[in-house]
Amino acid sequence: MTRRRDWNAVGFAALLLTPGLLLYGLLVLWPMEQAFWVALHRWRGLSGRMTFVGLENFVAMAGDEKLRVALGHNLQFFLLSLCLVLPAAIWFANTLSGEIRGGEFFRALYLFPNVVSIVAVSTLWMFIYNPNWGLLNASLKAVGLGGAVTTWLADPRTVLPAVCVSYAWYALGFYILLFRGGIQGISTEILEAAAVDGATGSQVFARVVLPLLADFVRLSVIYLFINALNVFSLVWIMAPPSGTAGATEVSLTFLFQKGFIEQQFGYATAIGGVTFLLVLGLTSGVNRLWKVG
Amino acid sequence: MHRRLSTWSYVPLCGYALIVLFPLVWLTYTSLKSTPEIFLGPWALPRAPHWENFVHAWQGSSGEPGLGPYFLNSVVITGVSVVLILMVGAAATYSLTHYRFRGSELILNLFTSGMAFPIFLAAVPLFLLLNQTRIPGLAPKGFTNHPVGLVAVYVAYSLPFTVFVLSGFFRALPRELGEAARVDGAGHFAVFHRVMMPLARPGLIVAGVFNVIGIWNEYPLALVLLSDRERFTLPLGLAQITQRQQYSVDFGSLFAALLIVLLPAFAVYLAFQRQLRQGLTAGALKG
Repeated sequence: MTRRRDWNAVGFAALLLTPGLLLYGLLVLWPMEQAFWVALHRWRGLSGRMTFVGLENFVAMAGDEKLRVALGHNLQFFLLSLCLVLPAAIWFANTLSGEIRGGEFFRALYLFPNVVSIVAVSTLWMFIYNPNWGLLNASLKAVGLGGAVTTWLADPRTVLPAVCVSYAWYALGFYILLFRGGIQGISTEILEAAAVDGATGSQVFARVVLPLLADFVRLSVIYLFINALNVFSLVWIMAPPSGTAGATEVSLTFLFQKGFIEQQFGYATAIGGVTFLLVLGLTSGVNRLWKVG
Repeated sequence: MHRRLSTWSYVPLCGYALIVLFPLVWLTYTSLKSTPEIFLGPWALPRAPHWENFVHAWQGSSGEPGLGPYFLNSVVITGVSVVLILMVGAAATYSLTHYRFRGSELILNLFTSGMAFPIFLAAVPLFLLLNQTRIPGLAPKGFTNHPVGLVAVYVAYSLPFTVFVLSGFFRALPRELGEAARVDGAGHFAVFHRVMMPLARPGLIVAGVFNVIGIWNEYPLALVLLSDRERFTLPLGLAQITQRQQYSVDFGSLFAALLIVLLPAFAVYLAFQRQLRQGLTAGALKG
């Protein structure tokens, strides 16, 4: 074979690559890179001037009580969604991996909420939580728990857990899918060997299946953390912080408020930057701890 | 795996099925109720079906906007975006996987690492870039509130996932096949278009289904980039109607509106479950 360069091939490869690379570079990579630059400026209003202020935005953030409270809500959201989603996902994934009657029906069902638009999820759950004619209060009354009836989304004490439950409804299917993948990867020989040795179903699950799912648990924890830091649409539609006396302020509603309502572009971008660093930090932290432990 | 399941296991399973399905059933019969009937409580079925709820939801009523125009905007934006994503994505992926050149691995990684980038970090600079790029004739006031701007953003932000999924499928295609076609006199474009694209069809379907759902449902980018009500996509329109109708009285048509938004998602889900699972699993395990 000759080692002659085929210029036709080079030209064609370049031609195919160019549109994608241009769009991606211009609209994804460039704004990402630009974000770090904008965050170092004071910049208010579209017509305002951009003044370089170094780390001023980051210093301001350190003393910003509202941002601290917002990040606290993100943390609550993470812990709550972890409790709601992780055990349920593992249990359902394990149960659905067995041969059970009606398995096809349940397996066809669980992923559906995941394809529903987050806006529709929000609207649906606003209906469910409606204090006067919603499903939740009516169900509570029907089973004799009328004392627990409340105005879910209007009460600062219940609003964040309520939003989190609707998130769990939306997201659970994805994590069931994830763990089902993990369980299918466990070889049947291991499970049969455990059964031959006389392990009961729950022993096999606790001593064999669960330890083999450790990587998937780690992945889920990371995903749930990223999603808890990125929670925005649900909160913004169901219970915007302006209507809950700040009880639902999370980092991204704060960013949206600063950036797109108050037009403090520099400060808003700096908040985005810090949120991103938190994600990076926790992801590598969890990965490292997990390997040691 | 052979395990006998105790009857008790069916309690959570059926409970979950109920939590997923019953809200849909509830929506369906409540969308046919009048507003005074809705106020009486959630359990009763409608006495007579109020089909006009769907007319009001689509066309709007008493000065409130309906979903119709937003639905059509979403159909156009989603359709054009997904066709372009598949074309641009397939071309770039094929170029990077079948013509290996210096840096091709690097560029492929640059594309797929975009799956980990948070959109909100880029939100402000992206808004400013689109707002301040003006092209006389096409976009005299910039590309915010502009369908071309929104489609371009959707294509760009869908490329990481699309390139990632397609690279798996393209890598599995034997290069010898292309070389054989070349020997038979086919040009580079013919090999790509007539040989490789048809073979990559399953991958294109997975990427297509995934992107259709993702863009049909997309909310935050549209919220940042569109403020002009005539340009709204369905999620923006529904969010707006939901937020406004809290202060008005026509709940029947609001239930109907939600059903109009949910049904296409349900249909796509039923038709493309397998591809969806494949796409979700691939995307999930990349991380």
